[in-house]
Amino acid sequence: MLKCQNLKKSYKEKCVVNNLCFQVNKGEVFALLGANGAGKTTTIKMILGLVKKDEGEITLEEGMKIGYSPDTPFFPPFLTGREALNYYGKLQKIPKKELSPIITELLETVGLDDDKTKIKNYSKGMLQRLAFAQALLGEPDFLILDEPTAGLDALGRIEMMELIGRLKRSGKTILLNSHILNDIERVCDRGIIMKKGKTLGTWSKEQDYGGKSLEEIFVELVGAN
Amino acid sequence: MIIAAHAIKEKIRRKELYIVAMIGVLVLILFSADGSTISIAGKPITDYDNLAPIFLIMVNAICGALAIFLSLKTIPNEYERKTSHLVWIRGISQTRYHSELAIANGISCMLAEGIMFIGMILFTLMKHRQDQLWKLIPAYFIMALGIWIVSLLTSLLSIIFPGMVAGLIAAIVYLAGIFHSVLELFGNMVSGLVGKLLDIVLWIVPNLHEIQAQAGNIFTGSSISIHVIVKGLFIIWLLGLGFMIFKKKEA
Amino acid sequence: MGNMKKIAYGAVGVILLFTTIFTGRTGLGEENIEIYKKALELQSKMEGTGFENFRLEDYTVAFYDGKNDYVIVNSDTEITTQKREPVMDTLVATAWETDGEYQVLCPTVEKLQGLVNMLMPAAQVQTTPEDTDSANTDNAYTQESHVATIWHEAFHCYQLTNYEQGIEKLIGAEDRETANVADTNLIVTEVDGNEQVVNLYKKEIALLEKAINEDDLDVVKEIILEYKQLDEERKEFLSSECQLAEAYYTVMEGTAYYVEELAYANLQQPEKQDDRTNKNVVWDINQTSANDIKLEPYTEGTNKYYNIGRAQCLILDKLSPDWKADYDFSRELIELIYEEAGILQ
Repeated sequence: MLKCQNLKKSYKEKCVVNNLCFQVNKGEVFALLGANGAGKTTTIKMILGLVKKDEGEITLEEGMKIGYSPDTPFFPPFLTGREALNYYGKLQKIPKKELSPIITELLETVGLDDDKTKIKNYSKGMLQRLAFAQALLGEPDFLILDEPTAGLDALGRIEMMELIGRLKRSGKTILLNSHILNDIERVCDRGIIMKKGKTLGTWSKEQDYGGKSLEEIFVELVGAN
Repeated sequence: MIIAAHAIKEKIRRKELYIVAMIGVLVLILFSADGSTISIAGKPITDYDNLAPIFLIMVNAICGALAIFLSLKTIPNEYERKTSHLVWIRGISQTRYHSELAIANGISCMLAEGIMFIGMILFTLMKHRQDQLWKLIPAYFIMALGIWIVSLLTSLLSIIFPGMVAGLIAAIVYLAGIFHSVLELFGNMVSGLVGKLLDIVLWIVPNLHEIQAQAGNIFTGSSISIHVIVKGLFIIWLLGLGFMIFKKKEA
Repeated sequence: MGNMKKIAYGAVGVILLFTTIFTGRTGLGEENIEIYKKALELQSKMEGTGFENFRLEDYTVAFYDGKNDYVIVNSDTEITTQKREPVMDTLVATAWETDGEYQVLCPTVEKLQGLVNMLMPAAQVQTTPEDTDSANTDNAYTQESHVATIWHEAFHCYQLTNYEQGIEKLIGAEDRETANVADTNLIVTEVDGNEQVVNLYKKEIALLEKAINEDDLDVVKEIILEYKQLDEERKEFLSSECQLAEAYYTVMEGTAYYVEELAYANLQQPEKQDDRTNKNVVWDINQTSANDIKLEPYTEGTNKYYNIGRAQCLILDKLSPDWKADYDFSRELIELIYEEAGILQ
């Protein structure tokens, strides 16, 4: 689905992504792991074309539909959730007749049922759910989720992870960016651990790490560096 | 035009246009009070035929300044709060995105102009000059030409330059545009390097004064220059071209 | 943007570009040529002004648009123009020596219209004749004004071409150009800056107006006598240089303004109202009395001499209709008036 080779990005003198290589296979949930400032969001933005890479190759499967949920979503405060989804749905050229039921279903899926509440009254968690909902518009094949559980309470996080799991089972490919390791361990198949733009190591659900949890592996790698 | 419609809704909801309404009301009060406060050479001007062209000049000047105010932050705001991300990833080209936002700016400015013209309509009715009402329609559209130029220019500059710099350049070009004839006069009197520089500035800066003068010509009964109108449309086209050329490197 | 949309956008741009070029003016605008033609059409009427051999067609007229001069070429069959480098930057019409002759140099109507539009309304507000509490803005510069201005400047060409010696005699100079008689500072300091002189002038203008509107020549002579006293009293305040400057302006500009007003009058139909407030004109140049002519009030600077000089021409028209036939600009108009009125100096 996605192949990144020798990705590099610098802002002024500071290198934020340095020789990054990884691959996301179809149908898997892949994680970019790291603390704040590791270069995860920049990597995602390069993949999406929101930021220009300095060096390296990004190969995406042709004709693939991508859905993106940003880490700090902004929606016009005067709109309701439905109206915001309606706007993005129109941008995606989803036919008018189909759009309304799709939006209803999406709002139900992410747990935002109240049509009347204006976005200006949304909590951070609700904004995150709405961001997720707009990412799902148009039934994308490949989902890129940047910190999808940020701002969610414990229950919200569980619901979000379950949703991601359902999406995976339905055949979606997901690239996930998070620093909450428990969530990653629950739903992801593979991932890379980053620090200061570099890959410190890889992680796979199927691999035997001698009983160590992802958190222990992470601390080991990050601490050693 | 989904992006444009959405941006216009946002402008209306953010109450920017209400500020315009207040300014329009103030200008109306200024002109319509008996014993008008407008006087020249120590004599008050009170009759409609003399006040109407002056009103147009004032409306044009205010609308031009408002065009900068309404257009300056629209596109930069999209990038500051990263709503651009959710647009870019949907395959919307920057040309379309920026153009539609610029169109939203232009339409907002026309709405602002419309609010000011409501003031002018009321003024015309208060002076019992209903026979002059029809002139306001072509005057409105002709003046809109100049306002669109200012708005589009500001929108374009806001893509290329940081906020205050874009605003400053837009303001300078706007002032040079409305004082184009004065600068031409000055240019005739000045020679050497300053004269040459002035010639270049006058060539680049659109003559907003002559556009406004066409609106005034409707009231004075003078002929309207088709050349000026078409030239104004061509300048708008050129500015539109700018949205195809100048793009952001990153969202 | 799809290719079709790009092509459509490009096509619109091409259409707009060509339309802009096509509708833009190259060369001299038609309206200016129309103005010249109108001015020329007045020639047969204006030949009756009485100034010997004064004909517009004897003088080259050029229009200046800010970048080039367009010299009018008047052949038997048509009027064309010849472009040349501008001889000077001018905001107002003037008579200028070029290529060994005096030519009328005039801004184009577009240039003047632009100037008027820019300055309107501030520069054009005038008080109403009744001097009420309200003001009117004058209307935009008209074609008729432009035509009349061309006649004004053509008259200067006539003066300078044929009567240079007379003018030099008027100002007591051997060389008109170096005489520096047109120093407006003298006017500003000695005339406008002196309240007594100003008050005397206001009285003189009132007397001139009275004389113009008086049919009885005996009464006119009495008014002139009264005027003479004020005139002599006023001159006591002024240096000889200032008096010469006044004489120069009154004769040169006063007679040219007189011609300008005649041209303007002859553009109008007698039954039509005069468009310009405060400037009633003589409708018929052979008329020896006029109805209710009002002179402009006293103004600072040299403009008042245009008015006063013209008024003196109108009075001379009453006293001696043929005064222009052999007038050579070597004497002040007021001198002629005193002579014709039988008032000894």
